[in-house]
Formats: sequence, C-alpha cells, structure tokens
Amino acid sequence: MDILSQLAYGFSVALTPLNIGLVLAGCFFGTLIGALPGIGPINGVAILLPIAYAMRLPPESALILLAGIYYGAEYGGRISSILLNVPGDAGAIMTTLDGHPMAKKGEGGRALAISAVASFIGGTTAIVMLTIFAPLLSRFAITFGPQDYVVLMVFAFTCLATMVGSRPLKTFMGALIGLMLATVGIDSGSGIMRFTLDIPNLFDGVDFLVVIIGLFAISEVLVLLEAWARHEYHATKVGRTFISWRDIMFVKWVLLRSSISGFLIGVLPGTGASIASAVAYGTEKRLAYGKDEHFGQGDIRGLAAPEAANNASAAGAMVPMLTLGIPGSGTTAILLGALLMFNITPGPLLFTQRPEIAWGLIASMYLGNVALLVMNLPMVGLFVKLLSIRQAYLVPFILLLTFVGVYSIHGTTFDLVFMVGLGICGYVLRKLKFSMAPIILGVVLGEVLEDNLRRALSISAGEWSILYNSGLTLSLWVASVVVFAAPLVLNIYKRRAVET
Amino acid sequence: MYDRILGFVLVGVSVVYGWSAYQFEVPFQYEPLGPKAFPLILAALMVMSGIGLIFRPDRLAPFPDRKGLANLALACVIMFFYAATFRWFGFILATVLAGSLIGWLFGAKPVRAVAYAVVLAVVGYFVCGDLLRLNVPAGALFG
Repeated sequence: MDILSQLAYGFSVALTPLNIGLVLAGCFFGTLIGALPGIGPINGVAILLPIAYAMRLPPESALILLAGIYYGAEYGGRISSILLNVPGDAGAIMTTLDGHPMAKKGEGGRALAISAVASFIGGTTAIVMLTIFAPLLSRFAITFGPQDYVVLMVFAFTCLATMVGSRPLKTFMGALIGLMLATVGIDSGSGIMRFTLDIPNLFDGVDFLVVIIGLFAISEVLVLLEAWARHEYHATKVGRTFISWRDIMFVKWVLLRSSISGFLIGVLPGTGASIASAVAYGTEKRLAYGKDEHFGQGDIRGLAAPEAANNASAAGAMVPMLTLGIPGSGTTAILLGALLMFNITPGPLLFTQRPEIAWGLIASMYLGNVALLVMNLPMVGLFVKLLSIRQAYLVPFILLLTFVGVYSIHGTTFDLVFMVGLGICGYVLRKLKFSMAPIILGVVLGEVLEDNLRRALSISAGEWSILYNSGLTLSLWVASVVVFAAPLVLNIYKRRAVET
Repeated sequence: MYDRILGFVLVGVSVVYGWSAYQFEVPFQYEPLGPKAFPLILAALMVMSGIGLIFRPDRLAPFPDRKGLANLALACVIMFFYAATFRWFGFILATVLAGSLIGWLFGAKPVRAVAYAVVLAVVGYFVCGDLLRLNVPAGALFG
C-alpha cells in the first residue's frame, strides 16, 4: 500500500503539463538519436545533457527529460540494427543477429513491430520490479556507513573491470584515469588546491560535462570520420509494419524470462545492456534447441529476447543509481552526474527526502514506455528516413550541439578547447581498446569515494581495519574477489579441457 | 607497441602526479587521512597497472593509413579552430566556417557544405538563443 501511494504521488509529479511534454520530447529525440547509425544511448544523453542543464529546468524535470532520452535511444537503437545491420552501441549487437536476416527476407516491418512490443514489455516489467525493489533496497541501505560505501564502490569497479571492455587491466586503468581527473580542484576537506596547474578554470575541478562531451561526442566524431571512409550504409526495405497476436503469444515466455533476467543483470554494477542481451539471447537459443529453431536466420525468439532484455536492463541500472548513488553503467553514471550538478546526492535518503525526484522519475518511466510504443508503431517510417541522412550533414549538427551546450555552462573558451583536447585523448584511448564508461564512472565517483574513505578513517581514527571488519564489508570483499577471480579460473579450466 | 608507449606515458604522468601530491602543503588537517593519501594511492595503482601494460601489451587493430591520419588531423585542427574562435567570431561565423569544413571533410560538395552550414548556423542561432534561451555568443569581434 505504501508503495502504491508513493507511486501515485510520483504520477502527480509526472503528469504536470511540463513533465508530460518533457517525457514525450525526451522519448522522441532519444529515438531519433538512437536510430542514427553509430550513435548510441550514451552519446545521446551526453550530447543533450548540457542543453537540458542550461534550460534551467527544475531537477526532477531535467532528470525526466534525460531518462526519456536514455530509454528512447535504447528503443531507437533497434531500428539501425535491424535495417542497417549497424548497432548503435554494444547493447544492440544481439538485435542484429536475427533482426537483420528478417529485414533481408522482406520482413523488416514485422521485425520492427515485434521488437517494439518486446522493448515495451521488457521496459514495463522492469519498471514494475524497480518500483517494488528500489524502496526496499533504499531502506536497507540507510544503515550503510562510509566504510560500506567504500567497499561497495570497490565492488562496483571490480564488476566493471571484469565485465566491460576488452581487458580487465585496461578497464581498471580507465577507472583510475577518471578518479585522477576527479581529484583536480580545491580539496573540500582541507581547502588546498590540488593539481590545478594554477589555471583558474580548474580551481573548481574538472567540469563533468566537459569531460563526458569530450570523451564521448568529440571522440565519436573522429571515430565516425575514420569509419566513414570505409563503409557505405544501405537500408533494407521496411515492408508493412504490423503486430500479429500470434507472434506475441509465441514469444510470451521468452519475453517474460528475458525481462526478468535483463532487470537483474542491469541491477548489478558494471553489467549493462550488452551483457543482458547476450545472456537472454544465449538462454533462449539453448532452450529452443531442437524445437524448430533457426536462430541467426531470422527467428523471432532471437529478436524478442535481446530487445526485451536490453530495455529491462536500462531500468534495472536505475536501481543502484537511485538507491545507493552508485551507477551500474556509463549512461547511468551520466545521469548521476546530472543529479550531482543540481546539488542532489542520490542515495538511500533520496526516496524519503526528495520523493518528487525518485518517484517522479519512476512514474515518468511508465509514461515513457507507453509513449514509445505508441510513437514507434505509426512513426517508424519517419525514423527509418533518418537512416539515410548523410554524415556530412549529421556531424556538423552534432558539433554545433556539443559546442553550444558546453559553452552555455561557463561561457569560456577554455572549456571548449579542453573538451576538444579530451576528445582527442578519448579517441586515442578508444583506438587502444579502452572503453570510456569506466573513465566516466571514475570521474563521477571520485569525490564520493575519497570523501567516504576519509570519513571512514576519521571514524576509526586512522585504523584501516574498519574497511573489512564488519559482516557486510567482508562479504563485499569476498564477492569482489569471486567476481575478479571467476573468469581467470574459468580460463584455466578451459585451457586444461583443450589440452587433454 | 602503442600500448607500451601509453604505458610509459601513464607511468610518467602518475609519477609526476604522485610526486606533486606528496609536495602538498597542508596547513591544518582535521582527519587522519588528509588530502594527500587518496592521490598517492591512485598514483601507486596506476604505476603498477602501467608497468603491467608495458609487459603485456595487446595486439591492436590496424591503424588508419596516411590519408586517414591526415583526415583525422585535419578534423582535430578544425575542432580546435572552432573552439578557439567560438567566442571571438561569434556563433554564426564560427559555425559557418567550421561546419562547412567538417561537411566537406565528410564528403559533401563544397557549395552544398557551405550552404548547409549557413542554414545550420542561422537557424541554430535563433533556436538556441531565443527559443531555448541558451548562452549563444554573438561574437566579441563585432562589439
């Protein structure tokens, strides 16, 4: 009952005309950006974040807009995956496996319709679970002390290091780079300047927006330029868009299973849409084995599973972000950074102290999912047209958005030049197979991690044992070790199996 | 090879970073840890990871050829130019210049690239400035 009344309060926040408009706008622009080939959700949120910030919206409205863009882009990603065979980001790769073959067989419309319904069911199931579990987790997390947060963040970074990117070492180094960037500026504990190089623009610290726009959008321009020379995209014909009841009944259990597993995987730190969709696809393929399956050649189960899972994981990733203030993915790290810019620190108290933000956001996600389904079925033709936009017209527009956005924060040339510099560093790191998400996570969590570490050691008067002498911290350490060691052990077993 | 270079660079940077953290003068301190410890821990971890990368670099995908590199360098120069002139030239002029160059770099015919950039700049100026009320520079050059 408690949850229902709070959810009702959330709807009273989300149903104001401004917020309804923002949900619709966010979903619409999110789908647009997601549909553009090569530009995924994380870029969409990064590019539009400073603009949302500069529009001086109240924090809950800005967050509703950004979240709309986030799952809108997650939704739109399937269009370029199915029709072009070009996934917008790692989470959409699995969608291409069965989606594109369907499009080649002339069933593009059917594939788009099934994936729209699968995304809707995945998203909605996950939001219901979010509504139930987030308040429970936040009630439990109120008892956490600073030492618990320190170890929790170590756990988050460990998960990230083993799950994301090409190699744990590089992911770990990415996180360190982010944490180092976060130490620049005046130290809040003692008031001394750290690593500012006597540049006044850095006294306040490295601006989070400048970092994400540089690392994502600017480096993306360079990646697009490099890829442009090699590829020409050809969109396949869509055909008729229709939803058939038979198709949906055929995949109903697939959808339910994938939604639940997608949500759970989304909740874990470091594991996002890419792993959720891969797990769902793999599971369904195994379950369907021998039952008239043609996975990889346009099986609708192989399309529905990853689509439901990646939308469910997008909602799941909100759980640790809202209740603990620890984001589970690059995109939620950006949303967390957005909240911090509004001087709101997400954490267990968010649900009781700022219910308009926590519950308003959750309620807006219900609306957004319905809006996306309604928007996507009739308007799919419009989004498909976007696929043929030439990059010569797209890239100047993206650059314009990023420059206006970053300039509107402080109005300095320094920020713009710094952003381009970071973008070039980001491009080099991407070429060397570093992923950007850990860097962003490091930048966002740097200050929180250091503050909690210092607070924990103040409590214990400098005794480091406070970090491992309670039941909770100890079990988190054990979990971190298990997550870190499991892939190594599995590898050894695999190698032995090959040798014998 | 590139991994090794990056490893050396990162080790070098973190040594400088750690050393300058060590030099911080802290006039007063309320807590046991202070502002030095966290950066020192980060520097130590980064030095270890950097050495790890030097000893075990990855095999990497092929890098762009000379023409690709020239294009990338050109794009970087254009973006730096855009950044440097944004405030001074004002939004419209800077966007026309940088936008048409980037459009041309991505294969648009010169006339079309310029025409598109002009439309983008003028429309963008009024949409961002008047509609969204963002801070769009008119240009210090023009007063």
